[in-house]
Amino acid sequence: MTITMYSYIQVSKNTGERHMLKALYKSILILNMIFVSSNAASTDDAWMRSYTLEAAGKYTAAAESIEKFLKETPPNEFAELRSGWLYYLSGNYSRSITHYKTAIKINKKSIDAMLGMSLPLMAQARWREAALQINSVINISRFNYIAHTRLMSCEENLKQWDKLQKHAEEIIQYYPSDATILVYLARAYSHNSNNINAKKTYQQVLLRYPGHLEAINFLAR
Amino acid sequence: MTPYTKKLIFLLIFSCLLPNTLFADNESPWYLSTSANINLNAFSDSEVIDTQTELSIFIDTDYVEKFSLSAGLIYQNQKSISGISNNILYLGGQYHSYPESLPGKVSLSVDTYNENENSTVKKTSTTMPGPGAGMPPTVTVTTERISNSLKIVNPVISFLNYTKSFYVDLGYAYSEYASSETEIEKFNVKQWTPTIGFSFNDQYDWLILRHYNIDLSNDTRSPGITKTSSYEIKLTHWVKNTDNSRLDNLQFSFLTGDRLFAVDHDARKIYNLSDMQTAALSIGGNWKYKNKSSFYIYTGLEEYKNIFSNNDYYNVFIYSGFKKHW
Repeated sequence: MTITMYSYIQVSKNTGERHMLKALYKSILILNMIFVSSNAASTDDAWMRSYTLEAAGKYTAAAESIEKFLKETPPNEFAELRSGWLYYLSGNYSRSITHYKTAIKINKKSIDAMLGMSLPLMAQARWREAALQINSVINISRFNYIAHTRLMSCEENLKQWDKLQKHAEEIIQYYPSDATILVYLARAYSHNSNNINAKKTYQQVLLRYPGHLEAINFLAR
Repeated sequence: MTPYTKKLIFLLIFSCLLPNTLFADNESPWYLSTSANINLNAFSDSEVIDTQTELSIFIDTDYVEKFSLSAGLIYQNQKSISGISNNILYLGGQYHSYPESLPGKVSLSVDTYNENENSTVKKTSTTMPGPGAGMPPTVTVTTERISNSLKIVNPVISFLNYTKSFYVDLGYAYSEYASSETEIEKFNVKQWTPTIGFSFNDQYDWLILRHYNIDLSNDTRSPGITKTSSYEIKLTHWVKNTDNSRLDNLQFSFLTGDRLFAVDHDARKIYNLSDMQTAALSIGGNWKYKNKSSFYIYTGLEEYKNIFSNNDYYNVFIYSGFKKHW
């Protein structure tokens, strides 16, 4: 609208008319600036409101405050990712999965989306589907820490103790100071009737995490 | 052997020959398991039946917790007056949905059982000689071809919350029995089974309560009985800190009330004896080996009543099986 008005001013021959149109143009420009800045402010406000509501634990309201960005063209990848996360936190796992799926459609390389989607799948106890999703992250990012620890959680819930043991034994070499991987490894040893290694591993856990209840309880047996 | 049976046996052999990599853990969306079971029944004090042996084999495929398809074959052989044997084809499917409005999984399953074949039964007839003939009665054993058919459709809708602490389902089973041997050639049975289940003891125990409400279409095959009602309680206890090859869970179940022509969709078991089941008790365990194989054995006692002769009798059974995940 601004451009059209400007062109009209350019072609106008009459000086009086030109003055009048210049004044009109200025006022439109000012109005336009006000509108653009208020729009930007409203965008910022929406995101700010979403973060504030998340911090207050109002996850559904936080997701609703950014809902308008989901209707944008081209699709707003970040709005999909954030909605996926917020609906996961709110406990609406199916809706969370829908948003993460859309985010993956927008960007097939998105590790954020793939890892994000594994969370609601795990919350729904869909361990095998979650493991498939996590494996697609590992295919892109071979030693991704989050992917490997979440995959270990899936293996534990699927009671794949042999697989968990081999997996944790391999990954602990890349993250030797990590207590979480050691806990998974100790649990796998314990379920595989290898109590000597389970004890040794829980002792390693205590070095990294003094007071770790599970390790203390196991070693006290 | 029916064409269905041949196809199923081929399918089972084929599934066992499939390469493991096709169903590798966490790398394929498909999950396959096969199981073989034996159920031995010994009836004491029965005037009609001595033993019943049931062999069954099932193949189950699951596509990442979204849907599953199953097929199986159940072979029953009775040592009884008529010496009946049955080949029942089982086909089942299940679809899982995860609605936004519910905090859990909703599943719809449909199981079907089908038997339609001719079998040979032994018939004993006694011919009395005329008065004063001084001859003993003549007992003649003949074989006779009879046609039996059984069709069951068993849909179940269920809900299980994500934390696996609460379960509810509603099952319906429509059974149609037909036989050229009996006076009542055809009758049907409608069964409703509302079920509620919940976990306790930090999810190491799981309790299920189920009501069997059964309507019989024709009361002449079961005189005076058009409706039966029974309650079942099933407790499963998971053993803490199990090692790889040790006991995984123990199960106890108890049934009280009257039950006739029931269908148990958990055990995929058809109670097709034409006698009234009045009580049942069972106990058993499930052993797992590396989460790839499991072995289970259950034993129990069932009480029956023959409606025609008022004969009360018992069945001691052993049900055992082996399941392999590929």
